[in-house]
Amino acid sequence: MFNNVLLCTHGTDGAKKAEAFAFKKLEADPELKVTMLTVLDEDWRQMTGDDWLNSNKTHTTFLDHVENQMNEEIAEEWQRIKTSYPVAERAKFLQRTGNIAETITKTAKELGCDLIIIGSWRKSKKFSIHSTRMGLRTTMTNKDLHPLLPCPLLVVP
Amino acid sequence: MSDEEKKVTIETGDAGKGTTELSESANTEKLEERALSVFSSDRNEDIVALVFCLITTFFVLLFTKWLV
Amino acid sequence: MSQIKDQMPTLIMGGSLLIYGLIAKTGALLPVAKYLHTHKTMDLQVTMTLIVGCIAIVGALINTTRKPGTSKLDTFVLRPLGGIVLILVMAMAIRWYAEPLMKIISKGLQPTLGFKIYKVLNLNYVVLGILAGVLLTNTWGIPKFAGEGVKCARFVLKMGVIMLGARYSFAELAKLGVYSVFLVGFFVLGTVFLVLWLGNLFKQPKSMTGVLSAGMGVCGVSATVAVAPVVKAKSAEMAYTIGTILSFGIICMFVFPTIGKLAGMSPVQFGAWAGTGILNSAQVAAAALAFNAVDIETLKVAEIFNITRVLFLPIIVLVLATWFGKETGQKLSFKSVVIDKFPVFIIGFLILFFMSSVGLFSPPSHYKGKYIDVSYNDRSQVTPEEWEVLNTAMAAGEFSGLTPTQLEAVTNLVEQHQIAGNFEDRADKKAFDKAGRARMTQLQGVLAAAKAKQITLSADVKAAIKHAVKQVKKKSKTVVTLTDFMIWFFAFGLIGLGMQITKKAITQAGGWPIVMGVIAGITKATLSFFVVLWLIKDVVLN
Repeated sequence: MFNNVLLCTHGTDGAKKAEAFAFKKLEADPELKVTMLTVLDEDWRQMTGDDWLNSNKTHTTFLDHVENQMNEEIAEEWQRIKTSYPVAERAKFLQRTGNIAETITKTAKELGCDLIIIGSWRKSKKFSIHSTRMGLRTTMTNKDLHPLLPCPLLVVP
Repeated sequence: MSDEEKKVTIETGDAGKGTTELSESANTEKLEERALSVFSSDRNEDIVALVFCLITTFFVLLFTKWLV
Repeated sequence: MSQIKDQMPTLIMGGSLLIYGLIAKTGALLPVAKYLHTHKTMDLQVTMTLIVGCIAIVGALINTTRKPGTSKLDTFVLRPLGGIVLILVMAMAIRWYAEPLMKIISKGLQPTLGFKIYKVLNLNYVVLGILAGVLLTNTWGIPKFAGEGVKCARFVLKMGVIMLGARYSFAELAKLGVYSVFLVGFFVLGTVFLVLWLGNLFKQPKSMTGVLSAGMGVCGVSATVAVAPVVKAKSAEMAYTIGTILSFGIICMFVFPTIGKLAGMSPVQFGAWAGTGILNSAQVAAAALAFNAVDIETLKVAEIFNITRVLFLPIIVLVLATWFGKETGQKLSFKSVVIDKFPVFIIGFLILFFMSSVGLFSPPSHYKGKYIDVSYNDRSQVTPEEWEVLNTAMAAGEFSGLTPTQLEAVTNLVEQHQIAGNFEDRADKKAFDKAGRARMTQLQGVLAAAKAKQITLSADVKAAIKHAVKQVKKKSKTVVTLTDFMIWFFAFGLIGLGMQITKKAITQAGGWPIVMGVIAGITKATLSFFVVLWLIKDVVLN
């Protein structure tokens, strides 16, 4: 029914369910095109807060570090996916920087996707000292995402 | 996924088991600096701040001390 | 067309300022200002609103007719104009309306609540300004037209710090410098090692304890940003750490002044405590001004501590770099860390300090711009009501408990309506001044005796004498004006920095950094509180 799927992931439990679902479909349907999208949140820029002592150069070094670090972590994440789902070799991997809802919908439009798959919302584990995750903790709200959608959205429970 | 696509190799440290490949088009946009400054360099900013302060001080002295 | 639309907010703000300034000029706002107790600032209000309004309108009109280019005028004036005007409007609204209103409201609520909200939360213009900045960013976001202008905040704050240099004397700077190097040095290194030890105890990765130790030890987010690339921190570690430090800092900004007032700390003690215990350097300035916004004693102390910390930052970066260098293979040279990053504005601070030390702003006979002037002057006189009170008390024999010299001073005050020397000596300035100052000392003695309950005076009489003494203690106009400029610079800078604190950054707090950060932060704040109370007793600033 769908030919071109955009799978959005950032390594959380919810996103992992979405991965499992999408790769099962990919296994079943050899014609299906799957693109894995990981978004580097542009709000990293705000993380320097009210710092005014550091020079512009230090700020740039910091943001470069964030970007390299995120690239590494995203690459590790993809490695994990490729190891757990051999079929993922057929998928295309993509990384973008920007506002999350806007980037997802923009990418879907560019690639001509007919379905966007995301994980479902889960209770935040922010105060658990055992939680592991990468990047910023962000919840994308339906209010932000829905008005921009170019195609159907599938939320995997 | 097109096979012709160029790949770049990235070091991923211990957890990523060495290296991984990703498409060269992976990340095109960069995080831009939202610097707290309109100046091109910090030295310029500091020097202009100092000059402004000296001008302010001069005028304050002029109107509250030397001209009164 | 779109250019006109872009400039609309600036035009509207400029127009409103002009209208406000013109109305204020007619004196129509005087009743309101009297109610708010801001009538003394009326002249300043008129001048400032008219000037800012004119510049805003002219600049916005230029911007509508041509597209801002890359010339110096464009980059530094025309592009940031909208944001600068916005912050100025916020600063003016807060200083002249929000803060006085807050005082009146909290006075009104005092009977129901049992305390003054204003006093307990220290809601003065500085805190209100930062809050306004934070609120604006997190509700509507920084408006598009203001984006460029908000970037000037750091520049203006630097100007504030440079101007502050004019307020120190050699003795003060030497004494505060020694204290700050010891206190900051001890607590910076102590906290860094405490966090590293905690990380070891909880078996946390070194990269995490590295960023956290710098952030908790030196100057908050600034240190985290500087250290993160050096220790190769993971993304989650940076996010958790920055979130923890930002939220901890904002809580400190409100809690520190309240605790300081409850504990009865002196301005000097509080400045030292805030300078050591509060993490982010902008928040140190804010807390110092929150504790004591009218007089800048606290700010003077806190800022010295702040500058010491700034100078400590490269050292800590170097230490941590060597600590982690073996693993990351990154090498940092002394030059790249210390010399390239040396903040030039601190040299500016020193230049103003030297200008002040050679007596440029106030003659050596004045102490830091304060002096006693007992010459005949309308402004030195007590009000007719106060004179009436004193005269009646005199006739009723209320001053019977005074020593003869004190009684002479009071009698002379009633005769001359102000503290002054002998009228017949007025040609001999030296003798005249000497007699006047002696009388002032006697009157201060009367007040002290009344306070110690050795004599009883009615509240009205005490108030009248106090006023008379206050009237002859003049401040140098130069120093007062310079301080005013400096306070406006700080207000502007802090509002702009408040706009950089986003909810998203704060809510990243969590995980192990929050556990270790809270332990380290509270330990540092508590220990430094007691050390400051024990150590700093004798520094008195004037």
